[in-house]
Amino acid sequence: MLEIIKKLDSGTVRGLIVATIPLLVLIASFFGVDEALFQAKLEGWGEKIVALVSLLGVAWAAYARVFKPTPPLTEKAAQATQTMAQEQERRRQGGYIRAGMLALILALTAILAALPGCAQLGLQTSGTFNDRLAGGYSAVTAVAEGAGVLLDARVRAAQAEPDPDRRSAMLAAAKADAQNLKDQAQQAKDALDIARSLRGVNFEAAEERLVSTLRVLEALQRYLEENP
Amino acid sequence: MKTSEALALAIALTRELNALMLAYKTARDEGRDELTDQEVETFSVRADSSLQNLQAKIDSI
Repeated sequence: MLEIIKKLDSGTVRGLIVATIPLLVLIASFFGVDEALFQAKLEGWGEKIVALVSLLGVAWAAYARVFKPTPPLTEKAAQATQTMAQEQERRRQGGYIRAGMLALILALTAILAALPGCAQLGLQTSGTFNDRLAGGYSAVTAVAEGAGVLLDARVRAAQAEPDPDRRSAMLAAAKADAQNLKDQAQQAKDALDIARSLRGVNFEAAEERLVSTLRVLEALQRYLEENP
Repeated sequence: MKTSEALALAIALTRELNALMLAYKTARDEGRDELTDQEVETFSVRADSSLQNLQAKIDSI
């Protein structure tokens, strides 16, 4: 629901009130109020009826503005109303996370991942090949999941953009960034597969491939953390 | 990024971390020093699945 403003803050209502003042003066003059000041008096019934109809018209306009739906009348007003509605919708959804809070959440996650052991499970991780290989695959999954969440966020932000050109540009940028992340994660996954297949043939080469791929994955995770 | 999206991201990362730690713990509890090839394969399959899901999401835009 759109937010309401105080009735007297409305320019329309203020204008209508101002327009009503002369009519009230004229109507007051029917009954001889302050004739010396205004020197105006409507004599005929027709003029009185016209004045009353004007007053009713103004009163109805004010009533309609206050209590009836007020669709915009011009493109500019429609765009402004749409922008306002989208802004209010964003606020109603709970707002956007602040950069500091996001950094804290991601940092805590990263710290957990970087710990030599998982405190809540009370175990020590070893540096064996298969353990680190599984960690690498796990990092690929995390990067893909993270890239998906970021893509959703950027698409949603783009859809809220009223300017069609800018919206298209934002969608294209979000898509290109996600595709780039996916391609790098895919390359890392392929490299892990190679390291795994090399293990039985040439352990040193497999180890080297694993270490370099884990570094790439760390860089990808850092990118996700620093570019929300 | 909205709070709900940041939490979704943190949950996704933590869920993956937990799966990894659970596998480590299971291996240690069974007296093994490292994960078996089969256990590693499950992580490989999960990575493939996530990458495919991401690609499908990208293609849908």
